[in-house]
Amino acid sequence: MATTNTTSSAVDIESMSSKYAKGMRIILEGAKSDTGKTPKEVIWTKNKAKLYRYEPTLEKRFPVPILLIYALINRSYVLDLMPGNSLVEYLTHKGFDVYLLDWGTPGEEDKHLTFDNYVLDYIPRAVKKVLSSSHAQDITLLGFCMGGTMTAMYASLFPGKPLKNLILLTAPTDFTPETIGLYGLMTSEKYLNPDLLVDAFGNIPADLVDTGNRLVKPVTNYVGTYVTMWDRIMHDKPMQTWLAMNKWVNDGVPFAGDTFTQWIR
Amino acid sequence: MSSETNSQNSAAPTDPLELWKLWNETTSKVWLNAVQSSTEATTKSSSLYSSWIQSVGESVNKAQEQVHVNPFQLMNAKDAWKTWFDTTMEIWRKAVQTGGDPLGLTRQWLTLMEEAQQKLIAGSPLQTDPFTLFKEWYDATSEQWSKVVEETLSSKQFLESTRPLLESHASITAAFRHANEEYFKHLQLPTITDVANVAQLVINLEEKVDTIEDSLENFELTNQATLESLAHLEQRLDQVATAEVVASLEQRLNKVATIEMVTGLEQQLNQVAKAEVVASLEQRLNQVATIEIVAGLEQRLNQVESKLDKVLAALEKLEERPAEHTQSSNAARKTPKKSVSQQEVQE
Repeated sequence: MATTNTTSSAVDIESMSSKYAKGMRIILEGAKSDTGKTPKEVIWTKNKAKLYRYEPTLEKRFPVPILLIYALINRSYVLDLMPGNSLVEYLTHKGFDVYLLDWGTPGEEDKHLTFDNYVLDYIPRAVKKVLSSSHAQDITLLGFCMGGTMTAMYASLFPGKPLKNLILLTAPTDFTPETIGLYGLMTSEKYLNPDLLVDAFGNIPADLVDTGNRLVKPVTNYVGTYVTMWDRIMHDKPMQTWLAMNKWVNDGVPFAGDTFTQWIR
Repeated sequence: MSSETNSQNSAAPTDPLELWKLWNETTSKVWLNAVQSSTEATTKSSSLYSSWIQSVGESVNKAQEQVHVNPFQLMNAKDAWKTWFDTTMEIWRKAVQTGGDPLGLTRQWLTLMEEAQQKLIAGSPLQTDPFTLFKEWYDATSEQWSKVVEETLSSKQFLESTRPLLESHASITAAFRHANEEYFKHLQLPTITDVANVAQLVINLEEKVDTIEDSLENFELTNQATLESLAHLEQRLDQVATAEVVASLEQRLNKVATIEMVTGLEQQLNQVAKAEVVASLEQRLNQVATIEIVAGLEQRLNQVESKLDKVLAALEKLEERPAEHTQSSNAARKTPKKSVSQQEVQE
């Protein structure tokens, strides 16, 4: 009996150590996950931006193609996270002709890019390429997060054809201080001088942007996330979704300097 | 590595109780070492830090003593928690008492800890698994803790402290960046600015290629439209009548009324219209004529009446004649009556 207990304890300890090691590896090395797996081809490029067309899995059922536009501070895989948890995959499986504008990572030479460039140059050209590729007359724009703000700008500037549908997901459009709470306070002119940061950094580092975003919900973002991680590891729950989400959160791209200034002001 | 440590290592993994004691002793030693070295370094200081360090040292000693007196107590989850709360909360209380808590964060944290302590102790039996315990503690306190932290972050004090922090960070970064640029220049090596400039040239070039591509696409589109229009026109021309059809059409057109004819017809139509108007007028005139007829009839009746008046007057004269002529007169009166009646009928 004593031998059985001892063996069981040893197994428990070994299992605990292994789990602890797994968790620490994630914390130290960052979450790793295979993201953006839906097959695609690049049909157009401009500077760092790429326009993807996702391979349809069904015969096209809808004549109007969809162009997905996400935030400048994220990676393109946020809308194609992982098989089974991907908006792109869902849409292609429904028979839509799906395109996505990948902004890429801005370099030092892109620090002077502004929303004017993105909304008046990149998006209209991408729209034109989508129409040409899809042999369509109309287009649906789906904007996510800051991408939603940009598509709303585009829609207000070019409200007629070829834009047929506009879909905005979690898109900030009301920037009055009363509506954006702590974010508004932290980015107010009184406490933050964006010009100073742009002069120093050129493009605003992803970590700095990420810190600002996390501070809106600090306990949830800095503690809650890892409580969930340990809970999943210790209780042998599936980790794929957590890893993919954590990779997304920690894998931002720098914010083009002048665009950052426009965004803050 | 000493023989004592080796022996501990060989025995430790088999018994969780031994493991717990080992962990407690090791961490306590680490804390004490840290505390002692820090105390030495801050003995002359009367700061919050030194008092806090002192209180930590006392609490760690207390906890360690308890482990030595009754290690089994710590295997009971509730007691373990109680010990942990007593130890840590004493530290925080002392920290608050020293008065070095400008944001009031420590005081709020202490309140939270006390609430959590009450909740956990009064709740269901606790888990011995440290991660589950931690999760329970987090679930019990995270909401309040979030509120406290968010209130702190929104406070004027905190926000005002962020600006100089960011500014100094930005200044240091800018200074380093400038220094590096200068250093690389002296080494005659390309800096990030040089690389960015080259990249900018490539972007400009790409922009020009894009413009050319757009122009070509527009040209192709325009040409395509022209070709399509031509093909369409050709198709329509094919559908247009041949010479025979044209001759036939001409013939048919000859038959079609000329402008003069049309004008004549129009004139006639106008006249037709006039005739109708005349007819209508006549009709109306006829109606007018009927009134005249009535007037005429009235006149004629008046004439008849006047004649009758004359006859009556003649009769009255005859009645006034002498009696001798009565018979002859009567006979004479009958005859003219007839003639008057006859005259009336004739009229």
